Amino acid sequence: MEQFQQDQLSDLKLQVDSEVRQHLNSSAKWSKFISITVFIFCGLVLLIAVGGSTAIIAAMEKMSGRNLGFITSNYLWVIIGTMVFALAVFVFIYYFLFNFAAKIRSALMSEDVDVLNRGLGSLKSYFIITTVFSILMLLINIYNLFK
Amino acid sequence: MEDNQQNSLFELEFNDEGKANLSSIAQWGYVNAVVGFISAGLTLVSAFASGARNSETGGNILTVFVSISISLLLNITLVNAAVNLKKGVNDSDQGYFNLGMLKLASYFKILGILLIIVLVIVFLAMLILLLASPGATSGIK
Repeated sequence: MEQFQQDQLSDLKLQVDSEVRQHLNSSAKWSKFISITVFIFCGLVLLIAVGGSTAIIAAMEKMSGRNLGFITSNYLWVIIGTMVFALAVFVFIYYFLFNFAAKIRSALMSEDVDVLNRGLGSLKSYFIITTVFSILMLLINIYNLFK
Repeated sequence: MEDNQQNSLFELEFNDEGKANLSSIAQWGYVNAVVGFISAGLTLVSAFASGARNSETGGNILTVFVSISISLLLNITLVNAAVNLKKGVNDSDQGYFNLGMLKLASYFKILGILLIIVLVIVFLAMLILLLASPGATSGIK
């Protein structure tokens, strides 16, 4: 009898009941909002950086009264390049969050367990990447504090 | 009995792969929150260290306390989500699992609301800058 009960307990499975479904839907909704906002923000910053670069060079030349040409534009392109790299990293991180939202919603609609697993895998990747970046930032802060 | 069979047929169930993913999410979420707590502590220490050096840091201290409060709120929610998810997955306990999922949803909700607040502040700052610039007032005249 005890053995039977133990077998029954080990056979218990976690289900996506109506409560979990509601929580997953809420998580997916907010994750989608967050990721899309980050994508739009990155796009705007990129547009301003690339579109405004010529205006910045012109303003610097006007202020100094001479043709700064090669040096200034090289320096500016290094800044823009770094900025584009940072934005690409942001987009890469939030792509996983967007993927999580899209796949979870799709899984809940189609009742597909494989899509649900892939969505959870995306959330796992998002947490791994953000944790690694958080640790890096923490180490940089510790270094700056004791420098 | 038949009802039970029908429920398991029409309700999604987490298989081993899903449970492994959930376990990893809980584990990394926990580490993320712990790193967040350490960062908040470090921010507090560095704020007090800089406050001891110069006396004009009243505004800075307020900013630090607001950011630490937000960080604590977020990370406590994430720790709760991680602990309950882990318990739920390890013991196959639906109650803990549901609580973990609720906390995870709350975590994303708080993040989203914070993002909306930041967006509103940025929008207002840009509006004030535009209205305060001399070009804007001459344009109106």
